[in-house]
Amino acid sequence: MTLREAAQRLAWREVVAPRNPDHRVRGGYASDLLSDVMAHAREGDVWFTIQTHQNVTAVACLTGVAAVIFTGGAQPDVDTVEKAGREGLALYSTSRFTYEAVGQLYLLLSRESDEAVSG
Amino acid sequence: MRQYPADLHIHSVLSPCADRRMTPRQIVERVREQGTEIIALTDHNASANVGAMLGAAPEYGVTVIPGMEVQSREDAHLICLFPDLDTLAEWQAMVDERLPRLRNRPEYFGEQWQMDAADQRLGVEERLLLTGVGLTVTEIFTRVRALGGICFPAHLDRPANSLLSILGFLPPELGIGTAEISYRVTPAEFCEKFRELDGVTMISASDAHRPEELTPAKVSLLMEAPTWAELVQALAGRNGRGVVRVND
Repeated sequence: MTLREAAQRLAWREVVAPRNPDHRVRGGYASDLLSDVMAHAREGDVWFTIQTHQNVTAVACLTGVAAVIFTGGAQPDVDTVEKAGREGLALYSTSRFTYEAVGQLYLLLSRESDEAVSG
Repeated sequence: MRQYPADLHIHSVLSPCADRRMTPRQIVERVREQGTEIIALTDHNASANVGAMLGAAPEYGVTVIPGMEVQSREDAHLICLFPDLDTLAEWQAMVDERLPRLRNRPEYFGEQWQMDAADQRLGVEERLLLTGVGLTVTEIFTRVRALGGICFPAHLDRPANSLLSILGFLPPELGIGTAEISYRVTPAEFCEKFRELDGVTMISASDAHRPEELTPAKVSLLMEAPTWAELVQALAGRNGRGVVRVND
């Protein structure tokens, strides 16, 4: 599943376009504590958060996550959007709360791997 | 110029998590016994007991700096200090406007008492104080400074409500000049881990919620006199004033 497909199927609203829309989404991480994200997010993950401070961009770049999804209707700060634009970091937002947004992606990725096994 | 033992982060019974014995008079009495000369009262998102502290303190020869521990929208705890009660009242009005309309549940969070200088209970704060206000860290720093106050992050070394744990690193654009760490770590071992703290004045405070936690001050302020103007210079390390670590 590419980032572009996941965004389309889960109706994430694009805030900053991904530099590579064909980036393959393998998993994700959900946390609002940036110190925790720095410790646990993996390269290529999709990161779900309600934290909108501009440090989000720096932590995303540091950990190499492919995109940040702001949940529960949280809107990233202006500085966060500007920095992400400069860094080529994809930002999306969704009105779904973290539990649901994460669950949707999890289901999507599980089905994909099931199909890969059975197909 | 001499050293004034200082504790710039103390809670009274207005903070739900504080012991009922943390009344203004009991705090200054205990503080004095410990040899501390300058303190700040910093209740969570509230300041109703600062006036009582200012009233009770002179008898004990303790200087009280009006303050508050505000919880930002990101849940970071920031210590805000002000030159006088009027300025603190202006700040309190901004916080009140943005405090979520939730009622305190004393059975879960604890009692929130407003006191007078004779330790008589004046009333009960009904709003839930232990929550984030609708102001970002950046907005808080900007507004407190515009009022002529000082702002610094509280207990940076703690896992909960610390600016460092929430935002991962100190946002450089804030121009943080002072930061608080708890008694659990020394500045040397802490700054070793976080290089961005180079050049930041590190202070330790008790963050006392119980009288037993009001121990001898971990830092002294090197100043001419225990005044606001001197405190500002000491925290900035200007004009020969500064922060001195005790028993390091």
